[in-house]
Amino acid sequence: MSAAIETEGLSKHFGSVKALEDVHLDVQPGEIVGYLGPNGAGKTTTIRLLLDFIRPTAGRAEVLGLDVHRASIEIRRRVGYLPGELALYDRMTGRQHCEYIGALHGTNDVSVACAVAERLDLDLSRPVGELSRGNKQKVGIATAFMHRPEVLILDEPTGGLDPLVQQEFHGLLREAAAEGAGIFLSSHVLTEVERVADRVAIVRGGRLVAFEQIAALKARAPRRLEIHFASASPPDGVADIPGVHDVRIAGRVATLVVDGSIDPVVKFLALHEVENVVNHAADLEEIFLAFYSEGDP
Amino acid sequence: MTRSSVFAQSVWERRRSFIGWFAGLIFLVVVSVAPYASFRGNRALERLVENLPGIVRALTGGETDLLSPEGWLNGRLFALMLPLLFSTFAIGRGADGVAGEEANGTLELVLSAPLRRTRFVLEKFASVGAGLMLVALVTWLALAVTTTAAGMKVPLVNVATAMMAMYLLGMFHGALALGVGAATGYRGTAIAVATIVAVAGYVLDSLAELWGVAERLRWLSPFTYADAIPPLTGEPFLGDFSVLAASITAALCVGVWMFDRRDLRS
Repeated sequence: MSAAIETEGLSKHFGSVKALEDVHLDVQPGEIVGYLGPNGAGKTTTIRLLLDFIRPTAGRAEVLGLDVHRASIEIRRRVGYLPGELALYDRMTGRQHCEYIGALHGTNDVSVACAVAERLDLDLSRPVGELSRGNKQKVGIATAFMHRPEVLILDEPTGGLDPLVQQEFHGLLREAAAEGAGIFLSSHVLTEVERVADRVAIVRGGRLVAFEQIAALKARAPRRLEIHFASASPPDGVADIPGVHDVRIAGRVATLVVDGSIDPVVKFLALHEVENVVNHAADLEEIFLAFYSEGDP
Repeated sequence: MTRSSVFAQSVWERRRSFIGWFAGLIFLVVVSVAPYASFRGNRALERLVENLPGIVRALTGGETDLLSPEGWLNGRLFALMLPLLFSTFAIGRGADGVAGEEANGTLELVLSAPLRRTRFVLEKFASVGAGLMLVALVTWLALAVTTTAAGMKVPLVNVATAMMAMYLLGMFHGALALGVGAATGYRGTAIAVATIVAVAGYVLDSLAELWGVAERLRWLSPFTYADAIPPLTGEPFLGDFSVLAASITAALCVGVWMFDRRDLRS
């Protein structure tokens, strides 16, 4: 079975600006991939390349095994898309938007859109110009889901949604993934990605700096340990443990950061009397910030 | 279904503005045609018109007898006002077609559906064409009623073909605005280019009989091919119309070609 999304060496330059450089990533059917990065990192550029709104400078991208440019019509028939900066027609109602987008997809069946709207507590009968930002976003979500797409490409989908609606939206994502849809979700809300994504891709300055399972990313990430020694002060040599850095001593407590395996630390502690060890496991935010504190690529 | 296509949605979205256009054009036709009865047969006025300086005659519709029904209609409506209004309508709609949707951000929503960019532009062109056709039809109806009431003996078929000249002229400027908007993504650029071409074309055509430079460049002006006098007087005009039709096609094709190859603006 073809990947829902696959890119190889995907690059996009705007003049001298390298908005995206040599990006390799894939999204498999039934998988949710979170795409993280700060503003201007290249998330939206990647998405716009996948939709054939812009053309790559180098590399290639496929959706459902089809070239995004040569087969863009077939791809867009099977993809649901939510733009990062959603714009709608102010005088049209939510339902009229669904009818219009549905007609462009060759259907007048808006039952799925209505069902999505109901779950998100959206009144489709009101003109969009009268809706709040969050409710406009719900209209966008309804139009993205309405033709039961095999791939969902969503750019910052939960902007403006309240926490309860976000939860419902995450349910929609999981259900779509369970039915086999590949979902590519750009976001800067780390908790959201952590909650729903199977894998996470982190982009910085147009380059992919990480792409793996969240659990693997966490396991590989530096961990901070707080060690309470029984002695009046931590024994000598703490700072010399392989893989340990950023050691801070406060009374009997040593706080340190361990890169990679924790085994050398455990072996060192076995030689001393220890009252307690507190493991501050890195959350996605710390991992994310660690990638961004490494300076420019 | 009112929104079954880009064409239908585009026409429906702008339906309210038609009321203003219809009212304005009907008013213009009435106030332009109604005074004709009181000027007809007025010898003093005829002598005055005969002695008008060439530039005034050129700017009010050329050398045709200004007090003939055809000359009157041409001078009051077909030489300037209808080209101006039809072109304004078409340039506005044309510039909104692609560049307007791109600037508003709605273009991405629409093009995320399985719709070729070429088809999107062509449906937008059709919506401009249908809108201007409605405007032309209402203007023709107003002329049919008012010229009959004023006793002007101009065949309504001739008025309709003169209206077709106005329609094609407006559509050329509309296609240019649509094409430039599609090629660049900038609404302001689309309006500016089409307006400059329209103004330059009018100046070239209207000054051609007075200024050698304008005379030599007259063939570049779309107004040259939208002269209402031949159709109003029943003279041949199809060659001129085909030049306008070819120009419309060229503007559209270039716009489509460039739109299909460029990045959309975010």
